Amino acid sequence: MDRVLGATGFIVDVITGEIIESDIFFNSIFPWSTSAAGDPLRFDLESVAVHEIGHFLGLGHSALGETEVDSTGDRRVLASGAVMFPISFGRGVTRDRELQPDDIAGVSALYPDGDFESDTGVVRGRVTRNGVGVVGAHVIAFNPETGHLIAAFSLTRNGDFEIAGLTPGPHIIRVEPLDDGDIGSFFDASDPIDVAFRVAFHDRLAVAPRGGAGDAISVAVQPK
Amino acid sequence: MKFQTAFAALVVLATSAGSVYAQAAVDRSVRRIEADAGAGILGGGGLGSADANLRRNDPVRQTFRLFATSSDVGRAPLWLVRLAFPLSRRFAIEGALTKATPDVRVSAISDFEGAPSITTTETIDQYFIDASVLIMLDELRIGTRAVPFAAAGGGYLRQLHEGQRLVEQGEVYHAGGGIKYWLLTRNAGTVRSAGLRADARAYFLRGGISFDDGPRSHVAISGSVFVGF
Repeated sequence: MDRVLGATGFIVDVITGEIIESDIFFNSIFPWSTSAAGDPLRFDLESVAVHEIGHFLGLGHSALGETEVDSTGDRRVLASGAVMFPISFGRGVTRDRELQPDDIAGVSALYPDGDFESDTGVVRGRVTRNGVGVVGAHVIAFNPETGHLIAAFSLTRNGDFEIAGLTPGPHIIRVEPLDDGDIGSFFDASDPIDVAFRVAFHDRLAVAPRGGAGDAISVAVQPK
Repeated sequence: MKFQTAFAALVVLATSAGSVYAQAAVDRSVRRIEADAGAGILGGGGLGSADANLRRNDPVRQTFRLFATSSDVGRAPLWLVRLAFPLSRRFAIEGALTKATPDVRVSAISDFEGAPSITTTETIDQYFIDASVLIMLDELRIGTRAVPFAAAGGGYLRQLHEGQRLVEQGEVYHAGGGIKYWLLTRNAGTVRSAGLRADARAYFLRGGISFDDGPRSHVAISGSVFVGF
């Protein structure tokens, strides 16, 4: 727990699936700040709370970010595109108070309002390596018109993925291995996550139509 | 009586003037519909550029570029049909439907993790439904059959992405000119006139597929055959 700022736990009735209780923990080992401007020596409570509330609502971690490993072996965040990225920006940074398009798309897909599904589009497809489905590939959809980055993982042994909540329009699709966080932050240890491939772009624009999904795309990646 | 004589003289004068003019030029139909169909080339143009940015973990530099994109739309053939209604010998109004199927190209470059740069394409169906005012420039007439004109107008832009499942809409404006060449004119029969027409236009598009906020310009040239009824 010496590296965990916060956590969200659930007590679930395994018979009915009912959530009986959910608790958000903030680790008191760390110094916390509620200052509006942030405190450079402390972690911003609101930013971490927004992240944990995302878990409370049912969101998993987003891999939309880049990290580097420092001399102590810890990961340092270079950049992030989602509040639900599993690693904090660090002390004094308050930027995770504001939801990003990836967070909004994720929580909206879980709790769609009346217009969400009719106003947004879906890109779905498959990631393969040597013709075999890739599990755990991180698939990013970039809309050049809005500048939004929204991502998902390929979750089946067939390499299938689906990115919902997209602003209708053409998207650039980029596929990368899960290399900016511990795999355990995203998947169970038993999942056969493939990280041995190169980053690649899909060679066609993927169009997300309003209120539905476009034709499924297939992205073939190359081994490292 | 004096008035009647003066009126008759005026009518004769006006008729004579018209005859003299008609001898010098083709007899263009006025207040008759003219149909026109043709083809041409719609020039390409830029669609803007955009960076795929993450939030940088740095209080000074706010953005972190994951990769960059630049976009354009390629040159494409166009097809058009028009209906014109001459209001006078100088002015006409016309409505047109123009279709082109250009490629939208988006290049992804400078990836932070070294993904090979790529240019992705998508072919779109693009329609202009617009109205124009034509001004016939008789004073610049070439011989007896060719008359230059200037045209300007605006209308509706409709673009359909591949698969026809997403429509983008906007506005289109144009200005340009051309020349009409009459092969046939007559005062009787269903077909009163026929000829060839060449156009050069600058189109300005607002809305539709665009990756920045500004209007986009395209040049188009076309040739067509017209028939007056």
